Amino acid sequence: MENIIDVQHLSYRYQDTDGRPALDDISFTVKAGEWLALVGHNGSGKSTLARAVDGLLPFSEGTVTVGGIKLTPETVWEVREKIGMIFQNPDNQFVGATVEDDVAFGLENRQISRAEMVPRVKAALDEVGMQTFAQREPGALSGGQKQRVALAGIVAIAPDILILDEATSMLDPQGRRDMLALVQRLREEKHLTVISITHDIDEAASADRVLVIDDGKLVEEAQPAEIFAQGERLIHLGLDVPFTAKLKQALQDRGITVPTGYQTTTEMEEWLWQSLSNT
Amino acid sequence: MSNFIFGRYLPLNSTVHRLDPRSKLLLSFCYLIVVFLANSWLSYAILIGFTLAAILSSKISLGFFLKGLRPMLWLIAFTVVVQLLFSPAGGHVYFHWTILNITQAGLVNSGVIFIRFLLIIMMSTLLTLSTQPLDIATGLSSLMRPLRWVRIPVDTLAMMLAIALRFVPTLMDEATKIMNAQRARGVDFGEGGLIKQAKSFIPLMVPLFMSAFNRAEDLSTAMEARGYRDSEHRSQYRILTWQRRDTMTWIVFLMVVAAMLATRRW
Repeated sequence: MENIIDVQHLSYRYQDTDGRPALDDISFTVKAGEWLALVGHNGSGKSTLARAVDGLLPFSEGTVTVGGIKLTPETVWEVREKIGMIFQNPDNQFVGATVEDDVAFGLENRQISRAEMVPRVKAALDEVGMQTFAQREPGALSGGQKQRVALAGIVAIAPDILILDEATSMLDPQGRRDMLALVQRLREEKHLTVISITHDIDEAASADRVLVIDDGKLVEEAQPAEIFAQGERLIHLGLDVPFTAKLKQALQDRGITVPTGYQTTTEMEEWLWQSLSNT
Repeated sequence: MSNFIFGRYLPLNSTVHRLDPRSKLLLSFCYLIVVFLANSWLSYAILIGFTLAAILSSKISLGFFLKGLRPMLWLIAFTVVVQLLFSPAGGHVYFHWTILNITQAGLVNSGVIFIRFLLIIMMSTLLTLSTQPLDIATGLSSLMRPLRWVRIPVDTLAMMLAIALRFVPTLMDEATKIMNAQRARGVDFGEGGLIKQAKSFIPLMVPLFMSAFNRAEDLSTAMEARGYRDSEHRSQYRILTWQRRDTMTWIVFLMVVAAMLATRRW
């Protein structure tokens, strides 16, 4: 399969930092139809990388080629046609006053006539199962529903590439699973290439390939299975071990006996209450 | 707090609600002029009749209009009393004490002022009760469209207004959260003297502004990623359509204006 994204020797420096590059000589390629996960600590540069690919950052060194088009200030809008991006905070990317207005936003920007917009908005909302919410205001939606609306906005403009910039990190576990299942389905139906930037182990596991970024450098590239086999090192790579497991580990380190096996947050809460009231 | 500005819209399904917002905005504006043109009792009676008919056809109960009147009550009372006491002499004098006179002319003037206030407030309350803020914004920007010819960036202003309206509830929620968080840390909102009260709002305003700036930055990145370049080169999803009921409403309104003009003193 052909490479839909080709990044060569990409470097970027934020102006206000101490000169340490946010991206340091990064090269990688993404095949059409592939699902690529980018993992790394907060501040490792993974979001910066995604933004550079979408032309949202004016990098000076290196080249980015998307779908055969080299990214330059002249071609940036052409490149963005091919990429749909979903960000972390569901509220801060909801532009429209209602669900349908928001889905139409990308179409309005492309000066598509209203006659064509109406069926496309409707079809996109059908696709993500939000058609009954078309007239609702964002305040009446949950975080997961808002992210689904954001997905509908991308389905409406039909790009080739979907970038999820920690798009599930502010959702509850159920919302996360729903969102991932929806992305999986859309990816198969629309033959999308997916790049997901994530801390979530399930999301990284859905990928065909995982890139690990640390301090702006590409430090590892592997199949998810190879990464997960590294156990303890996952935390160093910037992947989230479930919160209850982290809490238990921290308690254990302080010499407190904790129940074995996996607990849900509620079970853990229950156990904490009981142990606190016994002391 | 949100009730103060936005709880005003009452979602009902009446003819008034379904009118084109442009039609309602323009009509409210014209009505303002018409109210000041009326001067005879009969011409006022006609306008009162029209206003009542408009209120009735909106299916909104009168109570909401009285509520809309409440914040203006002191202003109305003050103006009426001033008119009553300081009017120029004319007609029968009912009461006289130093510079204060209650005369027949004064009584008439204060009655007229009262009716004018009442009519204007009723009509503007009807506009806000029956029209969503977003529709008002869309209507306004559509009416201001001709200003593009004098290089006023109407589309950009409309986009700013729409985004501002969109984020009001979000920022309201945020303000409530911050207030609760600061209360948990021992801040008293709305207690003590004026200066102390004002100071207590600093721990609210600073984080609220910080977050608003962060949101603005996120939002602009998201807008750009979705292909937003400028407000001029965009198509419109939300459109306003002038319908038969708008034309009918204007015909009725113009007939009322004609009747008012015929009965006023020239």
